[in-house]
Amino acid sequence: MSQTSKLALLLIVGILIGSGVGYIARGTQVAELEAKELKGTIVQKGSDTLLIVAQRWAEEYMKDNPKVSISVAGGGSGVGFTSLAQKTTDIADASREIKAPELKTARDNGVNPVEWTVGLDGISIVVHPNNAINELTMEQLGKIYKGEYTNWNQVGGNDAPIVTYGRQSTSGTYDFFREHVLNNQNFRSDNRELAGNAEIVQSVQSDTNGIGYCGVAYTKQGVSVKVLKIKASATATAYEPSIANIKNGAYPIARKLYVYTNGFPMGATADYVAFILGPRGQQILEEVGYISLVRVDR
Amino acid sequence: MDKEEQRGRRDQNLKEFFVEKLLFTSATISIIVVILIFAFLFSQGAPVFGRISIAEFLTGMFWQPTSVIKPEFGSVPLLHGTMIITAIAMAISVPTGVVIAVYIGEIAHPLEKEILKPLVELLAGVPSVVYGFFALVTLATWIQQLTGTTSRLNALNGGIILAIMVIPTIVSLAEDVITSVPKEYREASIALGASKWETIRRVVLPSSAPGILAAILLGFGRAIGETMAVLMATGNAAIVSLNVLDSVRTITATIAIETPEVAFGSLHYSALFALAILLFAITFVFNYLASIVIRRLGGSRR
Repeated sequence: MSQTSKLALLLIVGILIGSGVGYIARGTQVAELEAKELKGTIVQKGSDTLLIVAQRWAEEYMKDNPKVSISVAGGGSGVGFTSLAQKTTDIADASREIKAPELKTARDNGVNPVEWTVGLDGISIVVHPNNAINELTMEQLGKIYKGEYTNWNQVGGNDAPIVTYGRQSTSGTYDFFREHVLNNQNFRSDNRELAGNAEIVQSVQSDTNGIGYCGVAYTKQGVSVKVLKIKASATATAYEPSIANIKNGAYPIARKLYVYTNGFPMGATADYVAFILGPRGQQILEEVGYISLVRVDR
Repeated sequence: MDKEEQRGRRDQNLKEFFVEKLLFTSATISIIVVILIFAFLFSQGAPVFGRISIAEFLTGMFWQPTSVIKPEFGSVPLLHGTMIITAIAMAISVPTGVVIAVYIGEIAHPLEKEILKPLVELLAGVPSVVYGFFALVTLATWIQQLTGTTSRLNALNGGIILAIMVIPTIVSLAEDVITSVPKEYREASIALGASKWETIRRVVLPSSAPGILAAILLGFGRAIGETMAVLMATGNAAIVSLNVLDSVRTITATIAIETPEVAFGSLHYSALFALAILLFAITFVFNYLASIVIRRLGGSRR
């Protein structure tokens, strides 16, 4: 074969391979309910708060159903909703409710998000273990994160600048915190915006002037940060984010955790959602540190 | 004989023609791709300027695109973040890089060169997320121990890790340029009685200056466009502060963080593209200025 023909052949083969790969790579899952076993792939994306428990759910479910493969990713509740609307995920994990614009975008794209409440979560406020403070009011917490308080001595601590750590705007925790603690005001400009709950805990661990917020599950595994007690007002009792306090509403910063699917799910996805809401899934939820709304207390 | 010769020559001419056209097409395609990228950026980013003025975008001091009360799209803190990190990185990497390049090119024994050059190029191949991870976990702690600061994710952290990433780029190219200075120049210099150091300073460096500048420019391009490492290392606080121990937020990190959640076609979406245009414009201007300097330096050598 001459040089030119060889080149041409290489080009054609290259194009064929490229388009073949592209064709296979698009699309999410084809779940089939067989007579005996479930099989298919499920994509689960979204909330970083739910990431630990989502991974555990996926692991346990895949043990029982080896023909189903579940891929779990984070990115934040915002990312989950965008992916659901673009049909690049089957399940969107979320630590906040879907917003009206996101709902509209999804519906415009032919996606009908259905909300499933999978649990209850509290937001822990963490500081360095050497911090003199043990509790804060909701108002003080809000002012710290809005930038109105800049020194620890304004809330009863040492004379040191307050360094705040938070999540990025893709995070459901960020949105929830802004809505409920800041009353929809802006975060202070010098708020450090980190990618995940674990990063916040790690940063506060090594910053004596730091304060951060994260899901309660992230303060479980023996990390060395101090969890503050929060009181609703200056005269109320200060509560720590224990399971009991979150469940009975005493701890002021609590929220529901959700997963969203496109319409009512079918096949393996339906079975997986049923697993999450069922006794095994809810037990895993509580083991990781969240609170189940479904299980009955004994 | 004649007929065959004619046919042979005609075949060869045809082949030449094809190769020439193929190469021309490849070159044009790359130029067209750049133009198309810019056109795409511009078309997606322009809508934002219908709602906010260019002045507001370029001089606004607050970047709060998801604010519930009033979204703000001021790019000054982001521009500041990019510039301060790049400045720190270049301040560290240019002298270090040139010195290392001179060492490898001029002073090292051939055996040392064999080991050092591949090692430096290995550093250039490490993925940026690995550097980011290192900066997040280890470098931040070192800086914290060195300066006693409590805010470990800051501009200095980002600048230093960026310098570590840029040095191999500069060294690689600069060393190639230095080695390619003709042997005759060095021999002539030594023949005239100059010492090794004088030769390097008066002959080798000036004649490789355009190439070294090109290497620095490449490093600058890498520094200004780096996303992953600075995203993990700088703390992402959109503020303007000349204190290098404060957190900053770069343009690239902003685009990387906010793109996954932005609604297609929204104002925020266009604003992110406007940031990309800004970055593109800065790189373009710097490249152009540097190419003028390089040409002038290169010309005076003739």
